[in-house]
Amino acid sequence: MSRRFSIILQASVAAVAIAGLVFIVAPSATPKAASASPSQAVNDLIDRALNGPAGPEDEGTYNLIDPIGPGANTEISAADEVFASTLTIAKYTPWKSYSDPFAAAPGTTPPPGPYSPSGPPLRQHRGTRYGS
Amino acid sequence: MKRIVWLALACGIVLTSTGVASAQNFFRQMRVDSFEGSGIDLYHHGDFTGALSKFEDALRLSPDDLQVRYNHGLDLYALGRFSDAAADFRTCLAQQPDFVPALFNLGVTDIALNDYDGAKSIFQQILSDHPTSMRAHFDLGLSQYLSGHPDQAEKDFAVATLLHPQYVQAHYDRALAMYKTDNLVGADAELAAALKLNPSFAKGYFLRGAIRLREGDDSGARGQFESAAKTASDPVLKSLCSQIIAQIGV
Repeated sequence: MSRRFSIILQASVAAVAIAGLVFIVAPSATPKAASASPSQAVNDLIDRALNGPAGPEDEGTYNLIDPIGPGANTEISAADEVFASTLTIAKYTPWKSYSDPFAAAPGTTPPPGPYSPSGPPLRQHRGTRYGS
Repeated sequence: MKRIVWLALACGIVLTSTGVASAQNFFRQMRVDSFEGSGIDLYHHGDFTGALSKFEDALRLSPDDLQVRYNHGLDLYALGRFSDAAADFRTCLAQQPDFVPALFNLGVTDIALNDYDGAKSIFQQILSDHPTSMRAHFDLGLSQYLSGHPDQAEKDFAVATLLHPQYVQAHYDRALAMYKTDNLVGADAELAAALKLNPSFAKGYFLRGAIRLREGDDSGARGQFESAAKTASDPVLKSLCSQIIAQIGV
């Protein structure tokens, strides 16, 4: 009788322990799955941005060397754009220290911005639009 | 006496026809220049279709005009006709192999056509003659990056930043290449340089946010994405930032 009671008792303890484990483990497993999912979603969004609007910046609207001829560059000045080692707003110049071309001069009001020079459309890569 | 008269007459005829031919050439060149000038003006005002028609008029009068062919190519590029643009730049180079602007633009056009190997070889060719050309290093880096070689791209962007330390875009592209090669510390340092030069550079904050996330600093990442959203002018980037912030949570 006592042996039978002992077996029933052990089985009950084991059942309670298993049920307890299920209650402890299950809730902790669910949030893990939930937190992994947003992380993947965030990674996808980041990849989307880095392959799109936050992709490698090219030279904006002036990514080509400009026209030459009447009213435009000479062939020599166009070639200089390739050879020069510095640029300001994608116009290549001899070296000079950086200064914001849109900054207001001391004592004056800031210019209306942003400045957007006319030029050819931005090029597309892999469905990606480059530019600011 | 008669012979002298005939000789004078012959000389007169030759001189007159030469003069007429010269005058014809002169006036034809004037018309070519006029068409070309109008084309360039329209190009600068964004009327690429109108410009194309002017360049074509000029080419009809003078099919071998190098300058007009070059500008025709630029205009075709602006219209998204990259293959046709490349053909024009190649024609220019066949006529004048040291026409560097055409060579450079052919490289840029190759990038647009996803011919990255072609682009790389062109920029390398330019660099072999002009190793300090920041522009060629930068576009070589772009070709490397787009062809799936961020490690190589990083080196080219690094040279570009050395040649022109104030060039924000080169710092950003170098940071992006470093991020792709898991060099988060280096990428962060480059972004610091870019953001110091331009504190409202949205993409810089965005990439910093991505770095913070990889480092497991969710709160830091959130702050960076918020700055990116605040400074971004691109609506797509703004929207992506908002979505990421919502996903990260508090």
